[in-house]
Amino acid sequence: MKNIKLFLITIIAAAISLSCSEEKLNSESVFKDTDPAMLTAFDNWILSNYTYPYNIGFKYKMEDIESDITYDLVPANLKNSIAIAKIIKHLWLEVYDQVAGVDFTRTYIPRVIHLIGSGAYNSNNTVRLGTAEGGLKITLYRINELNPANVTVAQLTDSYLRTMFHEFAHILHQTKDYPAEFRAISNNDYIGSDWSSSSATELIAFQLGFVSRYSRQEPNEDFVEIIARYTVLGQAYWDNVLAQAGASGAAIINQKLEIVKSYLRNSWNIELDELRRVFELRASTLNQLDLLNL
Amino acid sequence: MKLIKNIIYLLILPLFIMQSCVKDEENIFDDTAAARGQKAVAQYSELLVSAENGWYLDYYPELNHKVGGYAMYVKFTNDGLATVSCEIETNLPPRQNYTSEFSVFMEQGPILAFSEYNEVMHFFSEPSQADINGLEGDYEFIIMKAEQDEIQIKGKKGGNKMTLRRNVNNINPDTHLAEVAVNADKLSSYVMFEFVANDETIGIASVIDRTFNLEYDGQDVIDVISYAFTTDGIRLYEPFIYNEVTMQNFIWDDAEEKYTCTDQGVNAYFRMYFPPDFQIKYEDFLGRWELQYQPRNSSAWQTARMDTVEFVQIKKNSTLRMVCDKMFNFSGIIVNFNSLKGVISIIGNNSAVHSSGYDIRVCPYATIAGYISTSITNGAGLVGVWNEDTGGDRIITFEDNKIWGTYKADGILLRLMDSNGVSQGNYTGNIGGLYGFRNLILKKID
Repeated sequence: MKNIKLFLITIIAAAISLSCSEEKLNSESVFKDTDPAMLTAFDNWILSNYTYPYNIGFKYKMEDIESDITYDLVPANLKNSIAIAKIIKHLWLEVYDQVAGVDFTRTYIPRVIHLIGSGAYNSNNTVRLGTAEGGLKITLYRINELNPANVTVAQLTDSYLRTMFHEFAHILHQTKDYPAEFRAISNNDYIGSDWSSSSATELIAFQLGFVSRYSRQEPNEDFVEIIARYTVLGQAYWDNVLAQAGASGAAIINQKLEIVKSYLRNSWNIELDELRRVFELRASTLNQLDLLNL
Repeated sequence: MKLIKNIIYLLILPLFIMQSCVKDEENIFDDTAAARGQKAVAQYSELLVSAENGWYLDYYPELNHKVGGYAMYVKFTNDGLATVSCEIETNLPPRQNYTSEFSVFMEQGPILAFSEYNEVMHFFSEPSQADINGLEGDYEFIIMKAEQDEIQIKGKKGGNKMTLRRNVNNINPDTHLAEVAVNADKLSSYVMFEFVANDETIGIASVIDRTFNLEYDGQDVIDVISYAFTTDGIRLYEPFIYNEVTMQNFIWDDAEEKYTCTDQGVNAYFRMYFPPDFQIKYEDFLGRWELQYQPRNSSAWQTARMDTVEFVQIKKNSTLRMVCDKMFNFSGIIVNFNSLKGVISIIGNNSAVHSSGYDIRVCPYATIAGYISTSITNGAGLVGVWNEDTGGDRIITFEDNKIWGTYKADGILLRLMDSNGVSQGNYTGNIGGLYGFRNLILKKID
């Protein structure tokens, strides 16, 4: 009996030990670094100006995996990508560096900036200028419309820069929410995607206490539109909005502006007026940027 | 009993273990999937670059290749750049090339991507507010099959299949694309064909963009067959199979006015088709005609008179010029030919440039009401009608083509127009200052 058991155990042990040998992992990684020789001068410029100082991936070559497949899009061209990279650094990243400190910028700036050559056109006659996704990525569209040889501040603030400040403001409120009282102010006047309908004019938006038509989409857009427009479009523009808004509209806009200012002050230690002042100062030196060469 | 059970269990157990582990699974490939992917990427890049004279490509934009294809030339260099030119006007004039980056990388399969904006390639993808999907052309392609002289690729988003063909004979791309363009221009005026296979008429194919819409005789079926122009004919998007006969390449025969299949063992062609109500062939318009008409100068309409006019070819099956030195002291007026109906028409157009730099514009004229139509885009004007009852004589009268709508044109008037399309008055440079012509009747001189 005992012998039989011993015999059987031996067989089992032998079977187990013989059966499986461990396979060794290949010491070579399947992830290969990009060959440095393949980096262009612009790639190296991005490394020194975006990636190393800010840990930002600046993607000027379109990656469909990063882009919205529901739209038909085209990549950005190289010369415009260079120009916009310089503009964003000068009139966006370094504005925040100066106002809130480089550590703030490094911490909250989105990790990826993705450029798209064309606009992302919707069938309701609107076009996307930019998107921010979860604080991680900002996509800027219509890069190919820029003419690097003839860039004006007005043109930039009207599109790319307003978009950048707009999208980054989303990241700020997604990180620390703003007071609920802001949402209550225009609660009945948010109309979702109908903001783009022809009956929802800009004048009506102003008179209802919004700074743009798009603000009527929902409170978050309302909130960031105030930050973006107040910062980049200047006092004269702002005064004009208030004038068109009339007494009651202007009162609402001012009420919202105060909430925005105190939110930025208390949550981020940023003075909105200082942000605007620094932006305008830097914008006045735009013509000193060489947008045509690296 | 219990002992036997135990023994059985113990005996069975090692069988399982042994069974499961006896053999390790052998790797089918020597390398890991990732390493093989990288190797493939390197090989494809090398192959693309290896064509020192570049590649030709029938580029098919739009979903389901529904507008047909365009001849393109692409040359890849080992600094990661691709130079692209196209037969047609893109963001650049025809044949002008543009260089931008390309890359080959691995996703689910190997991808060839034009990831930086290219003024030629991305013309076919560019969206706008007016056309939010653009021409739906792909610029990222899955590499399906690669051989030394032929690489099959497939648009990643749109799914159109295309082939890069190595420029083995080192044909200058500019020359090649120009030849394709000339061919395409010439053949674009043929709009209807009968499809004949093995000497049997199978159906009628009408041309829309660069596709045949083949309607089979007696059947309610339409096959859409996309094609691209070559230097001497057309190449279909994919082999077209009819009754187990496979055909893809066709050569144009000018004399017979037909595309003949050149694939081995195939007897099939698309020949220009004249519908039952077709009136007169283009060639039969060329030559001399008698024209009866009533002219006017600045004071009044004059009595009818007769002159000899000559029709000369501008573009076969598309346009002619009506020349007559008694009527016009310039090169004559442009007349359109409708190759589907075999009729000519005189519609608003700029027929010549005056020495002042102004255009001499033909304007449809409703002479009794005194209104003219100055548009050169709306197609309003006169159409020539052959009354077949006139006993064999080819007599063509001109009447309103019903496009103007508001008024009925019964004549034409010549105006001078500046480059902004602003009228600079009537053109009075002809003999006798004649600038209006009405009640036109043509009669063929044999």
